[in-house]
Amino acid sequence: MEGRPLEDVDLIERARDGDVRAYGDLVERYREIAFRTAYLITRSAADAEDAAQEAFVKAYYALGRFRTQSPFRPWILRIVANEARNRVRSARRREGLALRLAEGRLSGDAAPSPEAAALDRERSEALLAGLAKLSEPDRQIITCRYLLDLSEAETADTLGLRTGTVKSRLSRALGRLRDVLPETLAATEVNDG
Amino acid sequence: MANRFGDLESALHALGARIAVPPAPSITPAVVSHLEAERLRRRRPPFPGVALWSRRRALLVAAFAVLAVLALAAAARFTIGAVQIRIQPTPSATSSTPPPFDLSVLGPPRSPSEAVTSLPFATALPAGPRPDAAYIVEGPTGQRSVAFAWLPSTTYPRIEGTPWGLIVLEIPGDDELVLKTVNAFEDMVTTVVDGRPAAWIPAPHELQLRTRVGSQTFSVAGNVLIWERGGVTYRIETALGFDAAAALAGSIRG
Repeated sequence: MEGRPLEDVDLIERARDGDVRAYGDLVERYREIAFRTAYLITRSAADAEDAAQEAFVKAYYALGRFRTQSPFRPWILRIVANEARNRVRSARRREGLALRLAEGRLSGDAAPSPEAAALDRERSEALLAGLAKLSEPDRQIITCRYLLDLSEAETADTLGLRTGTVKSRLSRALGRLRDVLPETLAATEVNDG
Repeated sequence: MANRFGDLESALHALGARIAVPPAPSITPAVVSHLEAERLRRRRPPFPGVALWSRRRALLVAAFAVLAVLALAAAARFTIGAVQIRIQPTPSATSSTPPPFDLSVLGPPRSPSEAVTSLPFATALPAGPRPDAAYIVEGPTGQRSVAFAWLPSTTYPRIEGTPWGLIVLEIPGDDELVLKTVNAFEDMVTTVVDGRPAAWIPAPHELQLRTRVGSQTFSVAGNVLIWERGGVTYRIETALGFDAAAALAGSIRG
């Protein structure tokens, strides 16, 4: 009979014992969120793959310092984000790299009217363009908290900040984002808020 | 903040689900292969502060020690499945160099799918491009093996002296089909692939192929990785380095 999947902590203990296969199971479990995190920071699939791979290798050698009572996800994402940021800093030209919207709508979405869909897409494009105008630190904190949907605590762990600092930096980053959004969109946000 | 930026936050949350992100690549085999190879190279525990030598690791190290002693006792011979590796200095500068390893001596190429169906064992291929050709090898006892070959590409650069970019030889059983001769101990590195002892030969060497019609000797210029899993011996020949070869080996699945 197949047993239930091992908990992260069990895989970590085995990996610490030198069981590389157990660590492989852990990599498989987190490779998607790791790649997504790295991609949203680097905006390059090749850099994201390198960053995620390098991060998992480095994390293996740092397992001795991991506190098993803590969740593994923010810990590995912090290493991934560091690797991704290193690649962003070392790359000479990143102007041509930009995030873009997926084609079509999400499977869970109700079918909007063509006008609503066009408006929604226009707003999303404007948000992406606004994000591209922000500094790297502002963009990264917004990416972690909203685009990756991490909690404030996970965002703090991932970026190596205190939770209070995340709150204040997010507030300032959102303010700066609102400042660079088109007037119509920014006005809507202000009026709604 | 929720009051000041409520809608902006909602819009950003929704944006996260709408951004096009490429499918996450399969990095697990590369990570695992890298760690396995590195673990053996370092020859020390990865966590010096935590003395946690598992029984499995202790057994592996003991197995290598035994293999090393046996290899020395057997006049520097090392066997992995159906491949024997002999360490023997080149006799003299005047001895003639054998011809490069040429798959065409094995007969006409077949389509890989046709070859797979004609074999009595389950073959396995590395992740990535499909092979361009396959050759069937009949051993001295009639046992059938297969050599898959890939044409040179950006993924698999040309192996010196061959028209191929990658050759994967798969030999079932342990009848010695291949005898390799390397010049010195330094020309062969013992390592681990898939948790099994493996040999990495990054130096030019000789290969003697024992087929049903006799033995033939060739020279090999490419890098070679050999290991055994599930009763099948695998031999990869490539122009790529160890890390890439180990990643390829780790990705080989049926």
